[in-house]
Amino acid sequence: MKPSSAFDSSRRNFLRSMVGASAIFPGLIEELVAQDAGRSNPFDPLAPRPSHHGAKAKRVIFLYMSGGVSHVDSWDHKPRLFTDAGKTVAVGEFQGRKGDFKMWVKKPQWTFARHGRCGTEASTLFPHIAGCVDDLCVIRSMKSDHTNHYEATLGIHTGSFTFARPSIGSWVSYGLGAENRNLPSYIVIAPKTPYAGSQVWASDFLPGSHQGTLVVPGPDPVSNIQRRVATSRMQELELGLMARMNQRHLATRPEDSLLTARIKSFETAFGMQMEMPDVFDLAKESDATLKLYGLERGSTKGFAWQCLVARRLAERGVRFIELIDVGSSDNWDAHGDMLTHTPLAKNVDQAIAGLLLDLKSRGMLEDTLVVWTTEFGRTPFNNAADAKGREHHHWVFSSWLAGAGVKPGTVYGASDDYGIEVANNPVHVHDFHATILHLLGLNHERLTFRHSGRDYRLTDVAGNVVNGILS
Amino acid sequence: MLGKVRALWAVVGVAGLILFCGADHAATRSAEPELDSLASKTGTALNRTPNPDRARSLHWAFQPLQNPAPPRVTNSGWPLSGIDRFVLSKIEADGLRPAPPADKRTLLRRATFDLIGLSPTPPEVDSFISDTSSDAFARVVDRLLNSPHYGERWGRHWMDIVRYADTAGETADYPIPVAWRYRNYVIDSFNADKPYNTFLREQIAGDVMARRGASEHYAQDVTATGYLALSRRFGFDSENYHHLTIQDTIDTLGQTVLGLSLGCARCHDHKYDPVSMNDYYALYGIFESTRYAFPGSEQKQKFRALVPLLPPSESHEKWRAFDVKVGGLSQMLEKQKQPVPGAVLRSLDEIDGDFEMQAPAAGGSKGVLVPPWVCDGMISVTKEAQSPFKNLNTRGQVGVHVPSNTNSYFIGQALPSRHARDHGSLLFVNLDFRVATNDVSALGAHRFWLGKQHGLPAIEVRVSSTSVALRTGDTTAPVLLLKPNQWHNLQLTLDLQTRTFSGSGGTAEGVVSFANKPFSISSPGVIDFVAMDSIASDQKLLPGIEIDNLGIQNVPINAVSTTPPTLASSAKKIDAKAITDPPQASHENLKQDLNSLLAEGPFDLAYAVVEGTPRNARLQVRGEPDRPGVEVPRGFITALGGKPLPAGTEGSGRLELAEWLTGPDNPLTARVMVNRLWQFHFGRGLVKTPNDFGLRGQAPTHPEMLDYLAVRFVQSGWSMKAMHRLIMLSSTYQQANADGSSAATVPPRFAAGSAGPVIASGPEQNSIRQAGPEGRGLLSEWDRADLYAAFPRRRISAEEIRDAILQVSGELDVAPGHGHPFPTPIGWGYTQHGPFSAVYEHNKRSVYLMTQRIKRHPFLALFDGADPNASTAERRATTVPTQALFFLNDPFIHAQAGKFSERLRRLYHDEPGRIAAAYRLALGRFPSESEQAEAAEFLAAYRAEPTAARNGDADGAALAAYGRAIFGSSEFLHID
Repeated sequence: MKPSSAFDSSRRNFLRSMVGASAIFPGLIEELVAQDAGRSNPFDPLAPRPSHHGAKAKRVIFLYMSGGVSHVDSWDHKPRLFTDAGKTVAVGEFQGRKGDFKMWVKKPQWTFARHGRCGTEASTLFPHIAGCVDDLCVIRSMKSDHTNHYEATLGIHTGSFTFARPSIGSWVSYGLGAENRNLPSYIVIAPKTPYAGSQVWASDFLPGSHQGTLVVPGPDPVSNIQRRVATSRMQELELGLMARMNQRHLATRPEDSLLTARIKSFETAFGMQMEMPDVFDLAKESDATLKLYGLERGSTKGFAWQCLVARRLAERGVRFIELIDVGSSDNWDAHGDMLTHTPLAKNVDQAIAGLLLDLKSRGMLEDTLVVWTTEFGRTPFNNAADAKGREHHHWVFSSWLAGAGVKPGTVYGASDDYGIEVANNPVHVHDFHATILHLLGLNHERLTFRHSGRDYRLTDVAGNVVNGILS
Repeated sequence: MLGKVRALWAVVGVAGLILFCGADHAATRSAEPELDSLASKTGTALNRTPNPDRARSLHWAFQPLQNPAPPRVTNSGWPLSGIDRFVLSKIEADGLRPAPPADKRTLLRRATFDLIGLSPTPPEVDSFISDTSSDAFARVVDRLLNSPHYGERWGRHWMDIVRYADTAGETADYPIPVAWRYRNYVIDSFNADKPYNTFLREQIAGDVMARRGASEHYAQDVTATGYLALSRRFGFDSENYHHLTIQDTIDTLGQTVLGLSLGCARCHDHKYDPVSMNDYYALYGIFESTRYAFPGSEQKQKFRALVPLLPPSESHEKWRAFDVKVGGLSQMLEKQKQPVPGAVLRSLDEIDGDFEMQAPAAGGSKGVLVPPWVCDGMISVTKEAQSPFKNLNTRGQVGVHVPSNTNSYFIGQALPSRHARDHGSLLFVNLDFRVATNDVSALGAHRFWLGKQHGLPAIEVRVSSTSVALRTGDTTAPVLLLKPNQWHNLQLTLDLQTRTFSGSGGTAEGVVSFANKPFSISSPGVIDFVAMDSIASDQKLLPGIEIDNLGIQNVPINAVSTTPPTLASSAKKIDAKAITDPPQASHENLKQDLNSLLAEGPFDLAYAVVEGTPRNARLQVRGEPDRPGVEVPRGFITALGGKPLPAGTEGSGRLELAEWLTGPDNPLTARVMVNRLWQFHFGRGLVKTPNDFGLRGQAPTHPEMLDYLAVRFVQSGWSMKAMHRLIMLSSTYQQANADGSSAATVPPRFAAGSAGPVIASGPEQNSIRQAGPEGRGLLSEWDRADLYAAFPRRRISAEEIRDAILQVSGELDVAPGHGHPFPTPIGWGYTQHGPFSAVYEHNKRSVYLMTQRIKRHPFLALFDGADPNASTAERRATTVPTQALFFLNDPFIHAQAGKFSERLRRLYHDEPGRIAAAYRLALGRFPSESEQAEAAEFLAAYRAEPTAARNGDADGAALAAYGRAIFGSSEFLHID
């Protein structure tokens, strides 16, 4: 073929001729991949991998509320806090210090009622989510290991409370690979940076392809996803040239799978560049859908946008989608006044309910696991009778699960009369993680990675699957 | 108010920390087969509890270095060196042949990236290609080893291993503005070919060496200990987690130097390696006796205990001048009712006696005395215990409180310098104290003493609720009656020549003097320790006491006063403009002056360590510091022949540790390092677990060659440059790739006598092994590459990618980097709610980029840069679409491609010239005819795009797009 013919005529002709066997069109890729036929390509860390056992969930939407949501004001009704408010209780530890402390029982700011057919109690803090209790399994016996935000946030994400370790999303990506090769397998949508920073979604010692890709709501949600040259035709010229150079380079190095993987990564990047903006383009969503989430058309603000985008990512096969509502300040950390929970709840309540309803109506709740959690709860008491806020409380708090494989309309575990400690069926962060992995078909004891001479797990040496949660 | 309440949550539990060690238990199961196989091979039943002697006798890595002769080989023409004979012998044993030599362009590009991390320039390529002499390549290697860029590339390898970062890593990730000094020390050391044993000794004990050695090395020796100071910090109040920081030190030291993971032994004896908890706490004591610079934390937002880069003899006067200057400014601010920053910088050469560097009680944190203080009992640091006297320290805010009715406590500290008659004759002591008199049953007396740490006091003062008395021999004579509940001052002047002392005691209203008191008869006259304790109380209850402003120095101390000293004689020497300014100077100006003064310090300081109070650690049951077990004598790892520190060792024992690590009896130090040198040249180590030479690590693929190299390393005087020459001037290093793509058509003469026909040895993988879940991997291909029957291709590292792009675009600033533009430290208030976070752009080498611990540098993270939290023994090269997006759309790429395009257009006015220049600059070769044609077609097509000329420069836009394609090309990003 004469070179001159390579750059004229239609786009299709251009690409076909320019690239020869195109690196942009899937055909070539299939061809390249076929070279590795008969064995899984060990250089493709995102290749789909079989689960350990039959999976109920194909993907996870992980809703993380930053700062510590009060369990006794939301999902854990404690009538004694209403009747005994102003009385004192004795606790053996306060703010991490051991001792005999007299604490004043503090009345919740929100009232509770039974909801749904199942009658699960929930407060007026989350009125919309309360309407979805028939789909939830509320866990009222969550336990964490640390009273500080940084460590507790790291713990709920990585299973490690002090040292940086791979995030749960990275472990899931590592265990199952990607369903959609045009999108990252683990996506985090967060308007601000949480406690402990990007360690929260880092892959740490797992291969870098398993780290969370950060989406920041706004005009430029993913870095480098927007084409910088004026037209896609110009970019195609550039990509075509690069593909040709790389093909030629590969031709004399035919056995190098890494070079093949690199060529393929440009294909995926091109795909991402097309597909990512499409994910964020909500134009085709109906008014009814937007209304369901409480999202104004054209707005990228608030948890509603995050939730709707999460559904769209779930539809496109992203394995682990995490939504973080706020950052490391101006969050649920209501030391000064519990009423600061109100606007934060308003930001997420209708959006989360909308997400659950939307997933359900599309049949997606059957294979999507929705997780709602925070790093710890808040003290049912305080050290002054007139304290308006609540302090950090990791001895017991509440989370909930919904969707694939979860027993709907149930409550698991309980705290004591005042919501101070776990009364029965404790669910430690490690148990929580083990259960999430189990629902994805992964055995938390077998999902390991050898690093620094040791086999690491998300659940360290602990964790039990909580069977009472499973449907 | 909110912040105050938040601060209440400072105390942290240890429950979460136990989990870390738990990871060992997870590993137990999978490791058993290895133990079993080891046992079956040796016919020995291995006990689960490590037996150091047995493990040592079994495990290859602990055996003394051998000096094996290179084996005979069939193809005797191929080897250029002993290395080649070891390599070829294994290749031949497998019935294979080595690859042919690489072509000269490939070899030059390989060697240049390898040694300096940059592309060869076109003149360098031309010169090498045209040089047909037999030592052409040897001269290239020498040229590269002499380049200042060599240290920037190989220093970076070392920074990977020692987990260098510019921030501390605790919850708010405090910046360390002077960490760069250690970084540059590393770079300079590589450039100077500093012997590796010296390099290690300086990093472990440079501060001790500095005080003993020549003063021109003082600054670099002190700076070297940044290696230890850079240990990771944890938590909200990182001093509460200091035991974990020491664990990080020990773990990194073990991995770096010995290739052993020692950190596991914090909670239990090592499961696999012969490292016991005793070994761990023997090392722990050494580092607990060491004082680490403090980077700041959410709870204590100022850095402190930075180490002067001047010897005490030179720094002393400068500290005093600095203190007077700061004190004067502070006083003027106070007069204007403005808040004054607390003490930030204090001399480490005077005793830390105004307690400002200690952690005051605040929020949920109990005030604690931190090293170098050693204490026992209910001691706390409180604001209430601040003395009103300002004759010694003008800016104090806290003091030490000992509660009433205790009869057992101890507070002590080794003095930064040992004082004896040969060190100057006079020593001046100041102490402020207030005794509680609310409890008449507290009849005991506190003992305040100076003397030798493990000897008898030279001076002993007893403080009861009513009086101060001097103890001499068996008699106790009162010298001062105390006024109830009032602060008093005690000053002593010790004459080390005559072994007598004089002094005075009282208040600002008046003092009582005494003179000519003898030292204790049994005292050797050496003063290296000061303490306050309950030993003299005779089991009686003690009154509460508060102490502050303890000073021990070689210059006189001002008389007791509640106002700061006016300009002392020393202050006359300094520029006292700010102090003598009229008081109407605006407080904004004063603050600014004070801030810049405090930010700059009195002279250069380093983030480093100094000696603390030497003492043995107590074993911590299950790794919990509040469950102390038996005392463990400081010492070295038993299974490696380590012994406790000799009796009478002065100081922490770090110097002795450094000497032991680099001593002739320790085979690991040399083995581990030559393995790293090999690994950084070939992409894989002879031991493929470079940080783990223990029982869980992999055995070497070429054990004899490993020892051969280690012996030569030691014989060369631990010269790393000698090892580079040894390795690179081998046929092994100069081979083509397995696929033959880079083979020379005519073998260059310097690799003459090379082997015959090309062999097709099948697929060779230069990439990392990608272990799947449950450790599945492609072992066979990976293992085949272990024969080194070809040179493995590699993708260049993150730093090389960025540097090569800047180099090719013409934008690289080759000058060394220094500090980063951090915000001025005075304003720091980073918390976990608002941690420090920044990216500082520049065009210098990437080794000079600011790297944070909590938030990774975005570019370095994208291209698999080192983990700033843990020792990174090898970089993995991942291939992810976000990297491709970087090449397509990142502003950096677009900016550099634009510069590249401008450069090409400056160089040549014709298109073929520009294309050729692009290939020459970026790829070190000329384009082929078809590549020229392809480029011309591309540029024409791009220019023809209606939007290409948006800025009226279609030519430039097209050439920039062409540049981007080159930057993103596999050829640019890989070394054959």
